[in-house]
Order: sequence, then structure tokens, then C-alpha cells
Amino acid sequence: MSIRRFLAYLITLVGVLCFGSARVRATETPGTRVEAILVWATHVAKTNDTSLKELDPDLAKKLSKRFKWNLYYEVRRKEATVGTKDATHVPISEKCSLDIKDLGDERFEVHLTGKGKPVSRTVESLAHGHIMIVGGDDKNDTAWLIVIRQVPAKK
Amino acid sequence: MNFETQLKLQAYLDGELPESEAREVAKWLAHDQEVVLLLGELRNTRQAIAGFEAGVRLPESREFYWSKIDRAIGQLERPQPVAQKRPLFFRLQRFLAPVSGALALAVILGITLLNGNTGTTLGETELASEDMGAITFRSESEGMTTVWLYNRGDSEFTDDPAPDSVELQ
Amino acid sequence: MSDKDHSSADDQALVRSAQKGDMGAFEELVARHRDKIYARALSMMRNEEEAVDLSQEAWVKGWQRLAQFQGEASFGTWMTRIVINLCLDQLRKHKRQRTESIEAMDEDSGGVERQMPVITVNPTAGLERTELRQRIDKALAKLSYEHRTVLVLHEFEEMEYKEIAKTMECSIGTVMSRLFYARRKMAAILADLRKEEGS
Repeated sequence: MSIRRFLAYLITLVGVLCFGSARVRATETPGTRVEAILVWATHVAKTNDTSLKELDPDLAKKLSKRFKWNLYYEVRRKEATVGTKDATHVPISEKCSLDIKDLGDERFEVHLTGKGKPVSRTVESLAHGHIMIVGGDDKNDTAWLIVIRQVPAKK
Repeated sequence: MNFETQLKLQAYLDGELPESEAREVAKWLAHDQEVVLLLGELRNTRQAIAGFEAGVRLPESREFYWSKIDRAIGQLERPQPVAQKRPLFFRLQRFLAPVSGALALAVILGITLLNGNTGTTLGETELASEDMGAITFRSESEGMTTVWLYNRGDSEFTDDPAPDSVELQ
Repeated sequence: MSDKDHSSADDQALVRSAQKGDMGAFEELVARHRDKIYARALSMMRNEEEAVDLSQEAWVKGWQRLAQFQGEASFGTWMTRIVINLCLDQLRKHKRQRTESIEAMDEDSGGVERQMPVITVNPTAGLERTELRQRIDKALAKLSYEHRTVLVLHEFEEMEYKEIAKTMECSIGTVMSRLFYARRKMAAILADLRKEEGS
């Protein structure tokens, strides 16, 4: 094969790749509906605290299989539409917030900020049915958990 | 007592009746115990729910609540960003046909970098502070990934043994 | 107007300053009236998260429309109307299904509220304020959104029948029926709660 023919093939290949790349970039996927739930895990029932409500039983069951605590209370729940272009800010409590971005292929980048300072950055799968939990210990043998998932389809 | 009478009684309680009809209802009240009892019930309910909202408090601090409002107002008032120029790569697209092999190879490398996944590998966790540690556990069967954050100074957690608050299978 | 002035200024002065672009004055207005606006949204939506979001949206709208506020009503009343309209829009968007099929028949076929026995004993007499609030809260949650809305607009917003009819886009007769049903249902629920809780 002559050099000229080789270059012609290469240029054609580049042209096809460029066109394909442009078409993929031009198609912005619609946002993904995600929810973040701030959960408080404890061994002791808090019947008097009206700011807490019992967590959805299915989710509580899932958490109790993974963690040692018996009781899970929902403190706050926030829904947001997450896109691929910019991170979506999700304030989850007075002390912490999330910035979530869709990286494509059901991978999501989650930045956790606590008391105004960055804490962590995680890239994880949030495929339908898959949940991501960021958590840590709290006082008196309790824990805080932030459950992040795609908004489940209503039953 | 028919429904029309009941509604008229309610309107009487709410001050919505013209004077002549209000006088008519007043006459009923003077003679009909059933009407009196129903008016009493409506009045009790009204009194019970009056002031209901007075004890309600917003569950967020002043600053936190205001911050979102301030941000939203700021976004409304910020001038819209000028549409970004399409990246140089796309503007050069129409010139790629006659370009030499060396430039074509450089462009292919550029496409790979633009669409590449550098720094976005699944399972990555980065921490902002060296004082913190993180344990990540993923279970496909449970459909769950846990990222557990801890202070390195805590005696419960070291870099080696499994922490007791995260049960590992 | 300085920060110190904001806290001592009355609503009218704050509104005037805010209308000129003083964000600090508007923030002070938000701080003063936020509980009331939130409470109204909560009464209508029965969901804390939605109530917070809608109340914040109302404040943003309030800022946008501040130039239109001429002082014909109090600033607090003006703001509650904004949040009420946002809540109504949201409720219509949800198109909530009625949870009890009997409620769908109530307005058309004669209504159970017309035959309910009269509750002669005041079911909330002697209750502590907190307990009363809790019971009212439970009772409100059991109403459908149409009945709860008409009750909120009449009892809390103190709207007249014709104003409620205009807001809810229905006839005055429907407003009166719904209000009557809502009140009678509340009385029955409160009486049941009293029996259940043994007080």
C-alpha cells in the first residue's frame, strides 16, 4: 500500500471518529432523578422526637442486614435531577451537602461537604436498584448515613 | 334538618348570610334544639383548629433557609452566560480531511482524552483530610456500596482490622 | 439601611428598602414571616420537605414581584397568598387520587356528613396545646386535599366563600359543601381520637 493511500485511509478513519464523537457529544442525556436520604441509626427508639420518622421498612431492612443498628430514622430526604454537565447541589442538612454529577454509564460522582469544608469525593454506581451509602459514627454508639439512589419507581 | 338548612347554618356561623337570612336562622336557633347542637359542633371545630398554625416552626435555621433563597435569587439575577464557543476540535473538523497523517493521529489522541474517564474510575474515594480514613465495601448481591468515613485518631479504627460498625461478609 | 436598622424597622420600611434592592431588608422580612409561610404550606401539603421547598419558592417569587406590592394588604398576607397559589399549583400537578372512594361520591350523591350524628361533647376540651395540635394535625392529614384546602383557606387564611371559589376554581356551592364536610369530618375524627386516647 502506498503512503498516499495509507494517509487517505487514516484521514477517512479520523473523519468517521470525529463525526461519531460529535454525535455522541451532541446528545445530552436527560437528567437522572436521584434521592438522598439522611438517616440516623441507633439502638434506642426515639418515640418522643417528632422530627424523626421511621425509615421506609424495605430500606431499613436492607440497612439492618449490613449494619449493626436495629433502628433507622429518616431525618431528611431530598430529591434532585442530576445531569452530566454540572454537579447538582443537594443540601442534606444544615451541616452537610452533596454535589452529585452523572459521569455516564450509571457512574456518579458524589462530593460530600461538611460544615462548609470538603470531606470526600466518591465515584460509584447508582444503577437502578443499587444504593450508595456514605456514613460515619455519631455520638452514643449511633451513626449517620446518607443513602443515595435513583428515585425508585412508585409501587 | 335538610342539607340546605345545614349549609345555611354554616354560612350563619361564618357571617356569610345576608341580614334577612341571618334573622331566619336566629329564629331556628330559638326553637330547634337540633340546630343549636349542630351549630355548637361547628363552632367547637372552628375553635379547635383556630391557632393551629401558631405553634409551627420552620425546621431550619435562619441562615440555612435563607442561603437557598439567596442562591435562587442570585441565579435569577445573574446575567446569562454567553453561549460557549464550540471547542476548537469541532471547529477544525471541516479542515481535517486534507490534514496530514501526523495531525490526524494527534486529533485521534485528542478525542480519546476528551472522552476519556481519567479520575472517574468506579470505586474511587478521595478524602479531603489526612486525618480521615474511608472503608469502601461493595456488594453486588445486595445492590449496595458503603463508604464508611472515620477519624484516623479514633481507637476503634486503624488501617488494618475491620471496624466493628461495618459488618463485612 | 444598616443591619441594625433592619431588625428595628417595621415591615413597611423593610419592604420599601427591599423594593430598592436592599437584600438585607428582604432577608429580615423572610426571617420575620418564614414560620407563618412555612406553616401555611405545611397545612396544605402535609409534607415537610415540600412545604420547605414551596415556601422558599414563594420567597423567591415574592422578591421578583416586590415592585407590585403596594401595601393593599399586609406583607405577611401578600406572601401567604403567593405560597397558597404555589401549593395549589403543586397539588393540581400531583393530581392526587382520592384515598377513599366514598369521598368521590360525597359531593355528588348527598354526602355522609349530612347524616353524621352531631358531636355534642367538645372533643378537644381540656387538651394541652401540644396535644391539641397533634390531634388537629392527625385529623387534617385524614382529609382529602380538596377538603383540607377549603378548610385552610377559610379557617387560616380567612377567605370568604367567593374568594375561595375563585382560588379553587369551583362554585360557591361546592365551597360550602366541602367546608361543611371538612368540619364535620374533623369533628368526627377528633371525637374518635379522644375515644382512642382515653381522654
